[in-house]
Amino acid sequence: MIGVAGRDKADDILVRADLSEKKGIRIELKSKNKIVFGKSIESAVKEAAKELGVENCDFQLEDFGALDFVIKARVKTAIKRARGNNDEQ
Amino acid sequence: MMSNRLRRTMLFCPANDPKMLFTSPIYGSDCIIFDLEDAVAYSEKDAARDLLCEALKTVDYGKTEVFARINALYTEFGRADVEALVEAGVKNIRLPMCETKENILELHDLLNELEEKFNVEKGSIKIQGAIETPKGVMNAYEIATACDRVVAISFGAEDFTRSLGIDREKCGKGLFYARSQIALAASAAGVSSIDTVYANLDDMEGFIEETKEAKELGFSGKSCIHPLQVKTVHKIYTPNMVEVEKSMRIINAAKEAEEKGIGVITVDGKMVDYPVVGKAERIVSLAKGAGII
Repeated sequence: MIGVAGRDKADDILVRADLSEKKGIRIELKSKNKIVFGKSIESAVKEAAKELGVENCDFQLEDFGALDFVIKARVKTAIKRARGNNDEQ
Repeated sequence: MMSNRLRRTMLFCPANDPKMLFTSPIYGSDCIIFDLEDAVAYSEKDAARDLLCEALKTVDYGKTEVFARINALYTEFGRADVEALVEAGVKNIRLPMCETKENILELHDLLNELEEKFNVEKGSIKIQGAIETPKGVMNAYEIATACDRVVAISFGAEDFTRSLGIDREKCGKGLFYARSQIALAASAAGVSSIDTVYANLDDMEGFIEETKEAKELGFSGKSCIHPLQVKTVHKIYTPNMVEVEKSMRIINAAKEAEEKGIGVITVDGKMVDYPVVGKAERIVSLAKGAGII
């Protein structure tokens, strides 16, 4: 029930999604830009999770300056990997 | 008759590189190809697809024509690539390893289904067929004319030379027939033709020579694997002002003749007919693309 996506490189973000969490969406974020962009990053994460119908997940994020579309993509990939359905669906 | 759309340069960018997904338009290529195929490791295919889909929904690529190079439909990733991309709003797909018209029609049928599923205008998603094998070269015209979605065919020399068992680095003559066949087939079909990549980035002289050959053979443009190659191709594909001025005289004379109902005209003492006007329009299009008029 755990999926990981992204890389520890500039403009990217490392995402670890644990779908065994049952207490809603929880986000732990490490980012140099956390003070300025923390809320924006969290918003992108929640939006991506919602698009995939995820209501409970523990996200651990390490941000390296990723734009919103990159954050959403990495979150979606991590969720799909956690579900184990990379290409089956 | 050649397609009027300017496709001098197709810049390849790996779709799993976040930075390239938003910086690639600044290099000024006419087209960008985001690659889900060879440039992406097997274990990252899903991540690259998600990244490209989110980029397509978000990034404004302006006038740059964006293609997605999918994995071949016979692979485990191909159909999932197409479905995700259509939902994300892709406009153009490059299909690798095209060998017959049936390869194109398989994608065409899948696009028909997905356009209906995602409420996308029917037939609006276009196809570039990549020809990368001897069999594909032999069938270039049927690939180019397989359906109305096909806007371009391209040549991939790396796989072609591997299939033929010749050395890519020393095979100028070995590629001559294949390149000519593809340029001719595209022209006859009225679609663009895109020449192969030149992988040796340290050999700019070789790249220039191959690009000049591509232009002489009639290719609409050349694939680029580095932003530095883009300007070089554009320079080679930029007509000189003598050609441009002559072409503009031809176009004006043809327009005037059409208005007056005159059949055959002459410009600078030479007869002008439909192919000459078509060539003139192509030169003016290249000049506009280069920003010299």
